[in-house]
Amino acid sequence: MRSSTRASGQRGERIVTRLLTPLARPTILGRWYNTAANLMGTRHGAIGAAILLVLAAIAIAAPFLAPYTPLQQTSQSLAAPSRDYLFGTDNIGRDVFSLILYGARSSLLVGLGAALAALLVGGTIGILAGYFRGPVEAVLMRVIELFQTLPVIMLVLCAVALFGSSFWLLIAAVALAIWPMEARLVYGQYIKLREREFIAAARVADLSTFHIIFREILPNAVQPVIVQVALDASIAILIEAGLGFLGLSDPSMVSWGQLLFVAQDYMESAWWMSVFPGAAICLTVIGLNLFADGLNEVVDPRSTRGMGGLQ
Amino acid sequence: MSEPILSLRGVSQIYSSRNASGWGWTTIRAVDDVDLDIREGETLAVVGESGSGKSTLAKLLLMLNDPTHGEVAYRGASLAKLGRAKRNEYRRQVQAVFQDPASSLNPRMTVEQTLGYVIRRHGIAAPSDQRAFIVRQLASVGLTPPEQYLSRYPHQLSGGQQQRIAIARAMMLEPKIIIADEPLSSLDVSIQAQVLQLMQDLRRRTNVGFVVISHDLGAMQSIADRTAVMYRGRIVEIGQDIYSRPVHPYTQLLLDARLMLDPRGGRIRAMAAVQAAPSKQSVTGTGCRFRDRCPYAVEICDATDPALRKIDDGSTLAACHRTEELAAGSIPAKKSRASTAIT
Amino acid sequence: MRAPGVEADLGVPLLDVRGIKVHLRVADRLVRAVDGVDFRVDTAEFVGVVGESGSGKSTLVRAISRLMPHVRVDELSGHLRFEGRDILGLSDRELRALRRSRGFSMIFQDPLGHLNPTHRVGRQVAEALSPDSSGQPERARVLRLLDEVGFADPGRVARRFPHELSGGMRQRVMIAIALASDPKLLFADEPTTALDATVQLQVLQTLYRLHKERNMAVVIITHDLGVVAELCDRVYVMQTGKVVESASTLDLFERPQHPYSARLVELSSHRLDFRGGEQ
Repeated sequence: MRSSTRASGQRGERIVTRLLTPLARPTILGRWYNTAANLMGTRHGAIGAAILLVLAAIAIAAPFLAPYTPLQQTSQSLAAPSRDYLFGTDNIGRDVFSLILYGARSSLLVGLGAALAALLVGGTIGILAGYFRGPVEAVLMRVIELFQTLPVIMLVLCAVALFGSSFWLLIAAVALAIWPMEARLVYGQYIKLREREFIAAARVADLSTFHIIFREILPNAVQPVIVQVALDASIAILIEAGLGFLGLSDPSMVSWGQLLFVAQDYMESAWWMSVFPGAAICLTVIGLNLFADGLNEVVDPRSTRGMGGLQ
Repeated sequence: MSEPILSLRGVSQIYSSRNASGWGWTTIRAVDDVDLDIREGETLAVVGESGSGKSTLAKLLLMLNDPTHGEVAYRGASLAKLGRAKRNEYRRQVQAVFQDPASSLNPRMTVEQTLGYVIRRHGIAAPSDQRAFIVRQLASVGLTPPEQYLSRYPHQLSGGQQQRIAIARAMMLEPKIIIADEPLSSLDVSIQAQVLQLMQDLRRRTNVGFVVISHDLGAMQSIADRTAVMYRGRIVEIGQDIYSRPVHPYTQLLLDARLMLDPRGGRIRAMAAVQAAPSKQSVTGTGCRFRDRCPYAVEICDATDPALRKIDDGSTLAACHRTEELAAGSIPAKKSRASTAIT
Repeated sequence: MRAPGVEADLGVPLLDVRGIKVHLRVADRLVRAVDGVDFRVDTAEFVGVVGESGSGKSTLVRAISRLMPHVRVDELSGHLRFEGRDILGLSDRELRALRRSRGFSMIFQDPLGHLNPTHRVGRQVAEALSPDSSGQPERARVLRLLDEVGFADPGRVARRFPHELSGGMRQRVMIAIALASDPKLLFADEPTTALDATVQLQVLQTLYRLHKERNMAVVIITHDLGVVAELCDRVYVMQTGKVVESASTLDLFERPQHPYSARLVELSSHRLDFRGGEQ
């Protein structure tokens, strides 16, 4: 894989290089450019990023791309895919293709929203436990363990049963399921980094705790965390799809999981109702995982290409 | 004789760690009841092997750890009782240089950023003057042309350059003392000479004092006013002449362990008998901690732990029951009680 | 010690290296770690390779002993002969067979990284034993090796795990493992750099004793000229991938030819007094 990665990588790198060369200075932007260029050099990263960009474009431009609005019920229900209805229509005559396009929004929003919320909550707890240690660490670790041992699906079902299934609740519910992973990762990073000599030097220079946590340690801790966030997003999308499939998603929004819920009764008669939403979910998750793979390769200090961590 | 600027009285750092087997705890006395005065402007070397407690001592002096017993005082004021403002002042007066220059600089910050944060924290330069100030600091540690170092990251610099930047970071605050924890160990021999020279230049220019922790006696001999020898948490000897006139048996052992640079000498090849190295550390109970390796140990050494006390001429202190006899040469050097094989 | 200036002429050298080049690719940059080095070791010689960081001394020896770490090798060329037999072209299997018995072995700077933390010491030594025709039981051979490297109670040490031993003891264990295959040549990559001075002395003594008792050639890499002065018959001085001087130990210290070696000798032996403030 190495050699072919290099070949396609060089091509990708050349394209990006030509586009972004003016930005390649040793500034923060310059470093992002470097990461992006290296990412394009990995086959996984390039494909993953491409998929995600397409999906993001779809989500943003859905109203322009979709031939019908999601509420529009045409005269033909349960029509097979045709030129008028690319992915067919569902049981109440809505165009599946348009539904998929609009559904991208909710899935991506919930997925990314939940991943970021998990990062926020998990990251904060991880930082507190990892930097301050002692009793704080003991208590927070127990909290993390508690959430890891609780059956999350049950929690989410209870939450939805109690509070209804609004969009924001869904994001919160999914974030609840995945934040312990982030927390442990950030915790591990902080435990490791706080012992480094440059942190001792910062303490000796009487730099503030805030400065040490956020300006000294954090930039060094982010790399594996970014990879984890990409993975979290893919998990979040799957959970959200699962919830939709169980009929728990926000009824006012179109989501792929919800489409699957509706499609249950028509699995044999109208295959297009389940196949296309399912494929969309698959593609998104695959895209995110490939992207995370690419990031991982770029970020790994031991790899001979890419940032190499301290490169 | 100037007043001591840093004083340690009865300072200990004791902690428990789990045994390797997982059952039970072992008490480790990293620093054990140390008294020490450090004078302004002096260069004090602290030498010893691994487990001697010298690094722990450095951390205590830098207020990175608090001692479990005893008191560290700066100009008479105990560190434990300092308020916020006084603490800040202490940090400015007592600075540090660490062992591995590559890891003592934040890998994600440029030189300018690293130094800039410290400058802004202490307000030692006006924001508009900051860059020029940094340039002056870099030049003063011998990095020329200084401008080209500003936007470099640590991994783009050599070990010697990194260490100079670390020294610049410390010197910027115009400290009274710099605690240097093995500042030379990670550097090549030719670079070590340069760093030692830089330290000497700084001394001359600013009268800054140094406490240098090191295992390299040769380098310390060339720079130290006084040298303290540590063994298992204790200072066993401290004085100006320990290299030429060692008093404590352990000092003698350390000096003997230096490799000779004489190709005709062939000491190793002559296979002189040397005492066995200790096995993993354990609490020795009462009595001198060096007795299992000491060729001169007698009954009193098993019973009482010798205190650090003055030897006749006054400048050296040593912790040994038999110093007078040793100095007078009345004890023949005899073979070690311990076997020469490793247990 | 061999008489200075007299290169033993024993016919085929034990190790004969000509024009060895090791070019590595690190982050898409070409690094000429070793750039055309000639190097030889005769039977039962004690040879030193001296240089500072980046000189290529470690890479040279690892390339020769074919124990390169995980780096992308761009080029590894030259003539590499052990007892007259080319080893650069050997397959992995043939190389292993060579290391198994009466070939060459290597010890490293950090024994902890090269010992299996989950296996007892005795077992690790046993794994390295060469196939033995004398029929001696494995355990006896292990104990004998541990005794040979200086342990007073080999049985007890054999039952220990690496992390239960001190640094010097671990290094001795690594030496025992290296000796298990009865090598004719031992490479030692900075074996005592990480050890305390008193322990270093003992380990070096042991190394020298084994060199004499077993008639085993030793190539020691070091940055410490003291090690060289005490132990080596001959020295190679390396700088940025090339050998800048090759001489007997005596000649190196008394009549260094190359300015770089002269500077190294001067820095090591000339203890400047910085307190007086001159350089």
